[in-house]
Amino acid sequence: MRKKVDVSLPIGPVHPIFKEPARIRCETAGEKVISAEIDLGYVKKGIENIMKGRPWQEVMFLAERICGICSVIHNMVFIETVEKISEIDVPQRALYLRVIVNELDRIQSHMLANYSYCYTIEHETLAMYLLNLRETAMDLIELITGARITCAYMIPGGVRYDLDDEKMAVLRAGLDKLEKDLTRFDGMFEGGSLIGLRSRQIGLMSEEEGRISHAVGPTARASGIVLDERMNHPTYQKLGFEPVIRYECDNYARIKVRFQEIFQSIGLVRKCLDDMPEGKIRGGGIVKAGKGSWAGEAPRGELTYNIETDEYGRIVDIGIRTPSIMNIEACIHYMLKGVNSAADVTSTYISSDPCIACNER
Amino acid sequence: MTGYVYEKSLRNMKLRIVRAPLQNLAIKEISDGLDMNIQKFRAMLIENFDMSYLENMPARYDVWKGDEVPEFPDRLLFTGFLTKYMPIITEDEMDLLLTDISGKMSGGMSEKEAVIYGREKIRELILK
Repeated sequence: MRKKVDVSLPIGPVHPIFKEPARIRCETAGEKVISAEIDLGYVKKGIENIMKGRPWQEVMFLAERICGICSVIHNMVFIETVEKISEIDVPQRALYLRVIVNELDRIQSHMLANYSYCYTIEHETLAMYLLNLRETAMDLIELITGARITCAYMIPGGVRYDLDDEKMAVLRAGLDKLEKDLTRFDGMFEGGSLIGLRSRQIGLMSEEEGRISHAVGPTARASGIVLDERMNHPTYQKLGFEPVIRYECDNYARIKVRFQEIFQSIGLVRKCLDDMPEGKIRGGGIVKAGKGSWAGEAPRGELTYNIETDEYGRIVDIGIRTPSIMNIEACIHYMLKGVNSAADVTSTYISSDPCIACNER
Repeated sequence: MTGYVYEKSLRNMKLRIVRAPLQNLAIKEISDGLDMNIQKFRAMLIENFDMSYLENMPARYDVWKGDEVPEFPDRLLFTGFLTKYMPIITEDEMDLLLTDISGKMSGGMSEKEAVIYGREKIRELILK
């Protein structure tokens, strides 16, 4: 009989599956994971300290450099916090344009997350299909904002560029393509036997565990937790937003929530285009001294900015709580516990869509 | 190089995390609530928890603060937080302590004295 050996299994900091460095240490009995820990700090930026003392005009650009995948929401939440502190009103048209860009950013982020997951479970065909389709979403972001990643589209009191009828037609055509192709890819994911084998009942996190660790975003919503900052956002409330919730609590549910949310985002963008109010895209306003906190729903979940400004519009103090802080912790301490195979450790980790750049802000 | 990457002491990084504004605020509230030396509490956290736990501690603390629990003993002694949200003390140890406290209260100890006694015992359990 083979001797059973307890092993401490290190994964990372450099691993072919990881997009960014982190080191997971799994305590295993055979291949079953008993517990796991994570070491971070390989790419710490200290961006909050860099932001302190600088005027908002500079910090606005720094904020979207926290994360290259969800830069739009960092821009959006920073600007909305500043607007809240300074009581700056935003024209209705600009609010709708913000939702459009934010949802396009969510679409590309979710596609990248699902690409990473499919790649991790060795389903490279679907992975590459998704990565290719993501380019359509990136092109649409570029069409509206003029840039793919660091767009700096939102400014206090409005947005930089308007959307004319010609661009709206291109946007609608892009959305149709996204919806058509994604319906096929979603069907492939749902019906794939290999995918089911590698995803269902793996990486389980109960609703209670998700609540205790304050898991957020699709990671929490796949465990039946009704938590989405868009429910508290005035523009999304106008659009009749309802969060996507699933109850399987496994890797499969987390990926499916993202697929469903892409369809939902396509619907939201279409609704914005249909109901787009006429008028200005920029209001007025001066950044004042004050202190405030505001949260928005990033593709990975709740993103909170705590900001203090002075009378010259400089950032005196800033604290940023990114969603990956909560999700990585929930993944390491709950989802990985009890995983039966070392191969499932990486796929479970990737299913929580960890962003080390956000975590090591 | 391999030795450096794998065996690097993480204490400095962890110290930076626990001294970050949100973490500092939560740690101060807890150590003040337990009449405990903040540095000893920080040292215990650094020794016993990984970096993601420490990063997520303020969020866990906020969730615990949002829970509907009675003021005594849960809120005043941080019972749920120290067992469930940040597993510093085991459930069995906490149950024993709570049984001990309720025994002493039925023997005539006032609630105020029970809180002081409970906090002292919890400090011992945290630093053991």
